[in-house]
Amino acid sequence: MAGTGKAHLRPHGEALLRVEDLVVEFKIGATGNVVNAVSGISLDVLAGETVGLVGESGCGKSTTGKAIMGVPSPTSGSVLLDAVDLTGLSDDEMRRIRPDLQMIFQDPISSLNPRRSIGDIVAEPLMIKREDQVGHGPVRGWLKRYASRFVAVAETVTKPLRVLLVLASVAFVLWVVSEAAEGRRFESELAWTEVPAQIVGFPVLVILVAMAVVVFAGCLVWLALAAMIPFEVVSGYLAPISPAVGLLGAASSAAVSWFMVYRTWNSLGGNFAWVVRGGVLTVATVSIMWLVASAIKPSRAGAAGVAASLASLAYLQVFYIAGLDAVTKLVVILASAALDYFIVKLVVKKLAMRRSDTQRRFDPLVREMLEVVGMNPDSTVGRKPHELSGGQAQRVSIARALIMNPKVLICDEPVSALDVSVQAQTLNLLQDMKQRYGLTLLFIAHDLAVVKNVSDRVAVMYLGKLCEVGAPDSLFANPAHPYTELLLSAIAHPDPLIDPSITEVPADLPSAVSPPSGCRFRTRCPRAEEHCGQREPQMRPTVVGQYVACHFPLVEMG
Amino acid sequence: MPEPSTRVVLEVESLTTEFFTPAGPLRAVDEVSFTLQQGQSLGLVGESGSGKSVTARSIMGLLPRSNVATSGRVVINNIDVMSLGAAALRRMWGPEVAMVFQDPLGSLNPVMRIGTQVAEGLRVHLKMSRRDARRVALELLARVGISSPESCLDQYPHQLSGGMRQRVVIAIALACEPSLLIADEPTTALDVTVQAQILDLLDEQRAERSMPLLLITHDLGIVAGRTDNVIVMYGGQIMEQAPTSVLFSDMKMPYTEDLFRSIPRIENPSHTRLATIAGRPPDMVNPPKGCRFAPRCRYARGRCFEQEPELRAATSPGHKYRCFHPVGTRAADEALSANKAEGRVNETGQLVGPGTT
Repeated sequence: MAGTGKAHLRPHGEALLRVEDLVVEFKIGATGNVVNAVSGISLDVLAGETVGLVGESGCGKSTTGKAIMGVPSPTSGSVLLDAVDLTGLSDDEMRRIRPDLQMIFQDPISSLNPRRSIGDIVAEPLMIKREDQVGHGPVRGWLKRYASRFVAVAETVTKPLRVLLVLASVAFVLWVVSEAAEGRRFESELAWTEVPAQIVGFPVLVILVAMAVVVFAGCLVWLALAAMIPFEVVSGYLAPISPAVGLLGAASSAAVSWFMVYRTWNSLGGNFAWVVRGGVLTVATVSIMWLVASAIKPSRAGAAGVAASLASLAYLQVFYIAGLDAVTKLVVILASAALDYFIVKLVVKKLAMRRSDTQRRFDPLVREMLEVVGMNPDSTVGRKPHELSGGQAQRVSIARALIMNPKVLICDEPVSALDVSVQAQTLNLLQDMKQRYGLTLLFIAHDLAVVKNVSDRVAVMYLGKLCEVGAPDSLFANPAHPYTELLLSAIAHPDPLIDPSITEVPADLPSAVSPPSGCRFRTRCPRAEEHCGQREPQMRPTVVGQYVACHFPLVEMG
Repeated sequence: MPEPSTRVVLEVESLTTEFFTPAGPLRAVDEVSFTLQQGQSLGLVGESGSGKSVTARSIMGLLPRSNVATSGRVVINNIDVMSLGAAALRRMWGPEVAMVFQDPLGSLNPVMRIGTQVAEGLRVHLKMSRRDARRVALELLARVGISSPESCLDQYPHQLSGGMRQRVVIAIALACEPSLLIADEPTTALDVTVQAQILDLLDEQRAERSMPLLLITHDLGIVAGRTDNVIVMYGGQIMEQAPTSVLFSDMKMPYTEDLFRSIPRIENPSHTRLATIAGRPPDMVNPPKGCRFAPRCRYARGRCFEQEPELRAATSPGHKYRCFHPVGTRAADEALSANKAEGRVNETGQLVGPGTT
């Protein structure tokens, strides 16, 4: 078999999803060997159609599904969704397209986060999409564009100082981000009075509270001084903070900023250049920490960005306290670090609260979706995945995928881990959803009877190539490819009158590292001749309507 | 189906296994009795949670001792498994009874060479020398259809394909010539083609050694052509028990019928609506009163919800079922039309009510 060739593709423009010459290769360590997981698959799916992709494990059917999603991107070939080539898109562009391409996986329990409630899980895609659209998306984009400029400006500071600041900021941000990335809940861990009181006692607490205000206001002042960040970006960061805190910050910043500038001016001997450098340095530090935070955990970049900007306040202190004695400096530095930590926690908590606000807005949609997939929303939203049976968990996965109103749903062995009765329920549900939402499905499975049941068109894969494509009824009644015939003969029929031992199933799949020459199926094919090893067969139409890539097909060619 | 040798190898009598959970005792296996004769194969079929795997583990004596209560009698080759201590059980695993599990990768040690793992049982139980054990291991690997057994001996499990791994697991199970082989979902993780190969292999080995095989699966398709008898379990109980051909031609339990009807069939045209079993498997801590399947059964009437049906004999020999309205009888037709009249079942024969889709 071979299945290069595109005779089976429908005309351009008709298909919603069109995959051409898709190749996925995985390098094996430093050996120079390559796993030819998918070697030139062409496939198209019309709007509202279900295409079944069937084959043994290792044939590349799941890799094909994932390559369409871009996880990982294919080695070569094109994936056209609505005439947009997904393989050429940047990460950000792909992220914006992903709601249109959703996926359901084989093991329903492990594809749901065990620590989150079902309501959260189903709402998650909406939350991510919303955050991309209105939340920190613009901030992130803006910072990315200007980051290089910041770095260039930061070059103006003396070199040892710059190195020191970068190292310190990296360490600090690593710590803050690891805290945030651990997904720790920041509530209740640190009450306003607890930690500073434990560390330095009540008198210092008073100083710290004062410093909090100073630091917060100072940040605004410096940002304003730097005059490089547009106001909406600043307000984007501050939005998570509740109006009361915001007001307090704004009011105090107005009063204190004057004091701060005056104080700094004096302590630095009226050196205006230092003030400007301080502002520049702050912005540079923010951007560097931002880049580090984004690199460590992109999904947390929103929260980490806030954390990074607030952490930069610690460095501002250095400029404020330049004229103080050593002991006071130390106290203030320690205090400001503790305060920054506190502020970061506060902001992250506020962010979490804002998330839950948003989530409440999505709640009716989540409930509706759960109802649609046959779950009782009242008893489901608060539960955790481990409390569900496999069939229920798969329903939740389907709800999570459908809530984005996707154009194409890729189902990767969605019923292989389920019992027959639950399998039947899930297949019926997918069929209902398809009718209700006009879904387009790419259904990947190894069970031929399942694939036949759901598909409008079936593609049989073998070792990274397509063997045969056609309508399920004719393809299974008159298989044209010897491999399709082999698969059909291996089915375990629920009928004791069919003797299962009459078919001889040949040896295992050859290695995809060094696939056979010519037709890849020839090593297991009962009809193979010398010719099959020399030339790769191309896709050709048969008289019964399917397309087959075989030199010696089982039916007449058209 | 009369067998040439009728020596009973496995005898299970009123096997009951309870787990003590925080919610209360959970009876996973409830009064299960059956026998298995030399050379016979028996299929144990049911959904997840029906108690089929716990039955197998109880027979093997594999369940933990704490928080589990097992009662009844399990006799393998005149050895009463229930009375054995840990050391005696270890001596029994291998030469008397061996098991093949679902996930071949999980049942092989990833840091031991295949050869060592196959030879382990031979060295421990049969006290073979290292050289002899290796020779026998080589023979075994060849017998289970591994194409290059010599190189396979020195490989690690991750270097083999799923089908090859399951062959190795079978070779290990067969190493000490067990008198009974239990295969718990041996092909669920495998492809259709490999599934056919592995089932053929098990069948071939069973016939060759006239060793009885207990084949546990949720797939009626697997037991259909390859077992002599089938037991259908639900909620820890035997629901129906029959010679395979009788079960498929004359099933009496509505549950068996539902299981059978929910299989997607390759003969059916594409987009055929699949029959489903309404509702969910029973909560085993508080099983339903009366028949366990009644809440999901389209034939169930008042009596089914009150009184637990006994396992009774059908007309064909060896066929037993547990139902007041067996499928295909007048009682069932009457119950179904009465349920339709009451609106409990719709016109297409599907149960109507909460949790049904």
